Amino acid sequence: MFSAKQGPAISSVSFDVRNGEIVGFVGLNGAGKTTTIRIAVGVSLPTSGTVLIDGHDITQEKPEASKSIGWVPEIPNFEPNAKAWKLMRYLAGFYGMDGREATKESKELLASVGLSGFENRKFRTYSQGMKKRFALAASMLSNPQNFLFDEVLNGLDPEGIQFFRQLMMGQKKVNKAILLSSHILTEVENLADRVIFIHKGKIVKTTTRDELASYASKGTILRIQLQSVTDEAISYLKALGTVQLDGNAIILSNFQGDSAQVNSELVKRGFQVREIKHERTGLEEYFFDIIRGTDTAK
Amino acid sequence: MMIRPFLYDFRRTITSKSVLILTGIILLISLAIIPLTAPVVSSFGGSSSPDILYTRDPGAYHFIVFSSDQYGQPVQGTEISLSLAGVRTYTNASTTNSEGYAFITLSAPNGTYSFAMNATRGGSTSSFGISYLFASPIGQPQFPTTDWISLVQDKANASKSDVRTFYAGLYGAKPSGYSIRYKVTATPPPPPYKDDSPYTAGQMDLLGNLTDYRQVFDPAIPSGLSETTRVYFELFAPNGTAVSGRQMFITDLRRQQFRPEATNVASFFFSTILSFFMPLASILGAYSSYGKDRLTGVLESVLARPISRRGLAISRFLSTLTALAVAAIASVGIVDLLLNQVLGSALPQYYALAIISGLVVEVAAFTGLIFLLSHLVKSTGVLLGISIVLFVVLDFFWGLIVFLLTLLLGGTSGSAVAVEATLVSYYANPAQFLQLINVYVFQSSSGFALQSSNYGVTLPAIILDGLLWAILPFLVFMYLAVRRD
Repeated sequence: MFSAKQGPAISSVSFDVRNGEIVGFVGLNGAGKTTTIRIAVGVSLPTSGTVLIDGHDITQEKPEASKSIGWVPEIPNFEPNAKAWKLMRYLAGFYGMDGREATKESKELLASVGLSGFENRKFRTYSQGMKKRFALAASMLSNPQNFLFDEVLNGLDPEGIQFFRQLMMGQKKVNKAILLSSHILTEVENLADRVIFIHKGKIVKTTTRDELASYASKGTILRIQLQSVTDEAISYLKALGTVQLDGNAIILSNFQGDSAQVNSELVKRGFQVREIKHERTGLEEYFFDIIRGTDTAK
Repeated sequence: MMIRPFLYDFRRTITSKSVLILTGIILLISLAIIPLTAPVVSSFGGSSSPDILYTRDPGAYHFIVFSSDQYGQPVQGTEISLSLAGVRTYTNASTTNSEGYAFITLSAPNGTYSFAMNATRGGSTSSFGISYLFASPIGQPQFPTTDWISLVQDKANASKSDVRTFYAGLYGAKPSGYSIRYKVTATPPPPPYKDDSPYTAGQMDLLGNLTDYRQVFDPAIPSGLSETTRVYFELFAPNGTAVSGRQMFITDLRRQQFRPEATNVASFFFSTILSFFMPLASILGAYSSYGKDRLTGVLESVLARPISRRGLAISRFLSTLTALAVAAIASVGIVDLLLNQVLGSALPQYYALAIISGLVVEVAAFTGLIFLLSHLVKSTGVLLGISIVLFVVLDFFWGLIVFLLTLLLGGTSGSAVAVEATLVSYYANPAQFLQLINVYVFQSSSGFALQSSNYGVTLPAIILDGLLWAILPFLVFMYLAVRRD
């Protein structure tokens, strides 16, 4: 997967996703998440290396390997002028279902993702959220053991995000293996058992949920600008977290509370607050630390 | 290969707008053009100018003028004016009687005259003039303007001609004892003939006996004769000697319906209309069934299913090919049915099979080319652009390219080099594959008869070329589809 000018999009990428496990796959845009998933699904060809899906090589034994995969891409792309249920029936044909079985399975799956009543609409008329739901239904056609979700929460409304989260948790409970990619770490922190960090096409870190939780507990970082920084103000803020000075600004890290409350308390104590701004969360700081560490090491 | 996805792709291709519209256009053109090739029966005009004969005696010329309609029936009241102009001019006039005759005598001595006749009928006048040497034997009937035998239109059947005789006995008496015989043959004996006829009276059939100056006969002509069949007529004198003979072609007597061969009409139709539209349908069908899906990423949603790259490539190619082949076969079938309906003859089975095979080759070649091109370009716009250029060059400008190449090779238009270059070029262009088949089947090119093998157009070469066009683009496409993203 590379062009002669740019070099390989990914290299040294090796990891596994076990049954009953949700693995977060996190990296900046262009880090190689989608490329990795596309190779794992079999829609892109690797120049070297092997992807095994339940013991089947996706390149050499693709039909067998693909039976065990459900893929939901970031931007689902199906035949735009086909009606949803017909498209589902067509895709069901690849899993060896006969006409009656394909029709039944298609309708049930579309209903299970909340697309009941929209089966006769053409795919192109679907909203982004509906397209993702459709792709999810299509990915479940063979009740696969493994799911690969590529940035699925992007562009979804809160209800959609809730739906996908619950679905992933449900699949985990029935021992399915799930790889969930995202460029936003906070999206995966509540779901993933492990998080794999990828940067510039290489895996740079794998963390456990516990390790992640400790960074998540470090809370938010606030940047506070006062008219004048006094010992009294610093003393008050130290009680809320770790304080550092950055010129006239106070950096409050490990903060767990509400920034509006901090503002009103400072005003009450007679300080003139020019600005209180959210910096990064602890998880994000952790993420950027990893990236910085990788870039510095080079 | 999975049958349900194959059927879905087949249905999707055959019901795609482009394939439906182009197949519809082919059918509409067939419906519009083929009925125009229906046999047309044109009627005989028949002559309405009066017929003239004369006899002479030492001091006068005695004319008998007969005025008739196109059926040879007498017309009364035609005003006839005759003149003989020599040292002096002699004129006389008369009007035809109820039998259509006008008897006019010009008291002119034997000599050379310019003869003129004016005939006025229903307000319109026809004139006739000729310089004629009036030195015929005394008493013998002469025909200054018409023959003793001519054709008139049959009153009941416009596609049929009757034979009308106009003759007189010595000194202008009504003919008596004369008989007319005829013989229908496609293979007359070689000349020389005695008395202008290859047959004797005994070898001919009796058409009738002359009892009046003017008579109409309807010779019995068998149907289904070839266009080269001739009919010999012979006038026999009362003593049995042959007086005068005439030969006519069967087409003069029985206007054959112009019935074009179904194969000729079909070859024109296939090598022009289908050769134009089927590559276009193939290009658009292949674009909508594979090229567009591949370049917009839709194909990935299918490739993620339990199917190998090879399997998906074969399935899409075969479903597209089958759909387009069905459209092509349907077009040939409709053309065949129409030809059968209009011309009364169906295409020979070998020719229909040859054309269907040729169309499948064309469809496979263009489908394969578009499929493989979709792996070499990055956008649907570029793919469509290149496809259209390919179509235009192969379908519209191929002749010009070959002509220019011929000039470069030192040939000229119509030369043997040009013909050879044209025929060889057909091998290099899948859009011309039907032309190649037509050249081989009909042993002609652009209306000129030729021996195709002299120009390299042989059956094994055509089969090999067809296999290469059907398989080679597909194999290159398969390589790209399996080995490259």
